[in-house]
Formats: sequence, C-alpha cells, structure tokens
Amino acid sequence: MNYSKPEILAQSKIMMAQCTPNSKPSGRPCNPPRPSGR
Amino acid sequence: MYFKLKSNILFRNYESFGYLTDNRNFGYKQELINGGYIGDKILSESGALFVSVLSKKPQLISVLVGKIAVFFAGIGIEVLMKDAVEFYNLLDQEGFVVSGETIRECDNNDIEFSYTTLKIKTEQKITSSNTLPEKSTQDFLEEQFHGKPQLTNLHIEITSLCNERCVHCYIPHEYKISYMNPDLFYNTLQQCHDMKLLHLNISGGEPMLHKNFIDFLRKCREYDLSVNILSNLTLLTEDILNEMKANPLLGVQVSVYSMDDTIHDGITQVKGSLKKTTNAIIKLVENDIPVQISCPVMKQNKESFSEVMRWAQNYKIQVGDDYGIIASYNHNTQNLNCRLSIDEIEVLLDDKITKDSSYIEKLKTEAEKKKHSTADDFVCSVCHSSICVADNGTVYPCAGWQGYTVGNINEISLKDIWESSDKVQHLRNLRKKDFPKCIECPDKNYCTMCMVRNANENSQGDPMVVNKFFCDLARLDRKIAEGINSQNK
Repeated sequence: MNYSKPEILAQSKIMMAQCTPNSKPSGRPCNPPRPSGR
Repeated sequence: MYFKLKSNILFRNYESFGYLTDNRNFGYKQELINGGYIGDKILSESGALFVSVLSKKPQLISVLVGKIAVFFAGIGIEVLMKDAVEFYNLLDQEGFVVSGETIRECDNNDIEFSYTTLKIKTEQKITSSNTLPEKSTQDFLEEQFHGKPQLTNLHIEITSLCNERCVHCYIPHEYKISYMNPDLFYNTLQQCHDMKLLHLNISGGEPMLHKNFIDFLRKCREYDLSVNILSNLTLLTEDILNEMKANPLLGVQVSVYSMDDTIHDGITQVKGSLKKTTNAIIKLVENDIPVQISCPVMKQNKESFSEVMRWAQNYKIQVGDDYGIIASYNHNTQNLNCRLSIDEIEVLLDDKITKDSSYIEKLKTEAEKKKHSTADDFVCSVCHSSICVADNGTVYPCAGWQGYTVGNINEISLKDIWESSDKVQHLRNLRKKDFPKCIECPDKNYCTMCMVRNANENSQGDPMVVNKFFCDLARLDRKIAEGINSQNK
C-alpha cells in the first residue's frame, strides 16, 4: 500500500437508522430506511 | 499517550476504505441517551489501517505506530507518529476514539451507557470545529458499491420455542417447536462477519430457552457485532446477565403489557410472568444494560397500558407503544381478535393528545418528511439492508414474514441468497409506484407501507394487497394532525 496521510472521506452526523417503534408492528425490530444499510 | 476505540463504536475495514459508526445508530432510537449522536464516518485506505490497529483496550501510541509501520516500510517513524497522533486526536474530538496519559485515564474517558447518569435529551448533534468533508457516508457507499445493497442487519431466530403464549403473537403457537443447531448459528455468524454485518437481532420464540444462548452472545461479542436481544426476560440468570454486561454493543427489547398482573399474565397466558419480567428489567437497569420496552396496545390492556409508561419513566426506560398488531404468518387472523378497532384507537389518541400536546406536531413532522418521497422510492428496507433467518435455516425477508421463504442457508450461502435469490430481487425491485392506489392516496404521508402487514392478513399471503386496517389508521392520523372533521375525512 502506498502511504498517504490518513483522512476522513465522508461523514454523516444524523442518526441514520431511526425507527420509531410505534410505526412498526408490535414487537418487531427496526428496519433502517435506506439501502447500503446506513 | 494511550488511545483506544470507544466501547460503543463499530469499525469495519473494507481495505480500500474504512467505516466507523456509533452503535446507537442501530436498533431502536433512544431519546434518553448519554451524549449526542456522532453519526458515522468513511476513512481513507490508510485511515482504515490506522484504525484497524486500535482495539477496545488502551494501547501506547508507540505500540500502535509500530504496528502501522509494518505496512509502510519506506516511511519514517516520525512521520507515522505525527500523522497517527493527529488522526487519532481528530477521531477523539469526533467521538469515536478516546485518549489518556495513562491506561486508567484512557479507560475513564470512555464513558459507557449508564442509567444513573442518564439525562433526558432530545436529538443532539455534536458540534465540531474540525474541517471535514461535506460528502455523506450514504453517497460514498452508494458510489462505492454501485448502488448494490449491502446486508448490515440480520434478524435471527435461534429457537421458535417460547415459554409464553402471547395472544397477539405473529408466530402461530403450533409452530413453536424447534431450536437452531449451534453449528448453523456459528456458521451464519461467520458468514455475517465475512459480509461485514453490523447489527444482529437475536430473537425467538424465547431466545433464552436455547441452551447455547450465552455462548452465542459471547461469539457475537468476539465478532464485535451490535446486538439487540428480543426476549421476555423471564429466564434471565446471573450468567446471562454477566455476558450481557460484558458487551457494550448489546441492548434488550422486552414487551410489557400492563402493570396489572392479571392483565399482563392474561396476555402472555403465563401466571407470574409480569413479576419475572419486571424484576429482570430492574436487574438490567441496575447493571446499565440498555433496555427498551415494547407495549403493544390491545383490547386487553387499553385501560392499563399507560401505567407501563409511568413505571418505565421512573427507571428512565424508553417505551414504544403500538396499536398495529399484525396477523400471524399462517394467515389465520385469530390473533387479531385482540386488535383495537379504529374507533377505540381514536379514543386513545384523543386522550394522548390531551396529555401530550406535542403529539400532533410529531405526526406533522413525520408527514412532512414523507412529502419528499417519490413514486420511484423503495417500498421499505426489506432486502435492501436487512434479512431474517429462522431456527431451521429458512431465510425470509422481514420479522413476522416467515411465510415468504427466499432461501435456506443449509443449502446456499447467505451471500448467494442476498445477491441472487429471485424472490429477494423481486422485493428489492418493488417501488412505491407498484402500489398505484397508495401513491394517489391523500393519507399517504401518514402511512408506512409494510408488506408483512399486507401478506399476513391476506388469505393468499399476497404482499401487494393493501391492508385496509392500516389505511384506516393512516386516515385517522391525518385527521388528527390536520384537524379534519369526521364529516370531511
């Protein structure tokens, strides 16, 4: 691997996988809303 | 100087880049949380390598640089040292790494989830003075994977057996008969690790009935997986508690229906279950294990469920109440006998609004977000980021949708099912416009389309036949939010 200074390429500061349980059938786990799963 | 990854952080190394995220990005939203949501970050190739040498235990910077230097033979130690300190400090400021002059100071700076210090907070964003890229992780990942969905969440039922017989359960009681073979569990976990999975829901039945439950949790911890356990907690032991406590990436979801034991135990059909469950919840709180209560509201507990809210508030536990019971997956709608009618839900919501004036605003805010969705949007995340495995290896799209098999991991790998199953492809290709009546519906911004709700309540198991009950529920929400008179609805 060629050396390059380590860096941050992208970021999100919002909570990506919001799930309000009352929008889901009872007792079921959440499903994050977007592809790539984030 | 010592550095370590914070205990609530997940790191996945994709070699050409790295992914860092806060465990609180998974599972249920917790408004009662220590600290803000730090979100997630994409690291460059060398950034990923620098983070890959960190662990959840403090290490001296010289040791870390020594590990990094192995990969960069021609680069001077001084350069690596300077870049490492700078990069780790940046990640420290951003909330992913902690540092300290001593091992103890480094550990002390890693503040773990605790109910004793929990403060009531609404969503908070970390404000940082660092200059960071504007590109979002989502955009980066979409480009990187060329839009190819990545499995990040797996729901796994380690047994269908349950020691309760909840009247509303979507798993038919007669199907609660078997355990997952431990080898199948470990094999699945290895596959998840290879696919760089982030989050696992361990469910049942009642997962604590599985004799290998503690070993399973231990293995999840070794793989650094975020874990959410769905359990009634009646079988909680000290050994299970100790293993749960050892994993800062673990949370628990438990159902409590009423603080009146005749009502709660009436729903579970097991005498003494409320006492066992609530005692176990208190133990989790005492041990600072994050727990969330689910409180499905039914005919049986509509008069008493609010006591669950009050009880939970005393312990700073978040509760999700829910009126939308789904039918069992054999399409026998008998379990819906306990579901509230729309009129009964309206009475409860009227009461809720009287007590919580912000409820209408929350409805409006949610509806506002949905205004931006288009007919070409995905229906839901099913087969885009999550999938489920039953105790016999059957793979199905979503919890509660066991009736729709997309493959079996005894016959074909999880990766192959995820990438090649025709049924997975079919579900993945569905768009909102495939429900033409819904995209024209005036209540669409108050509706969350759910194909399990459709499929389970339809005698043929057809996910495309829209479930009228949930249409009525969306109409009710809109009526409340927009103050529409009954005559105009």
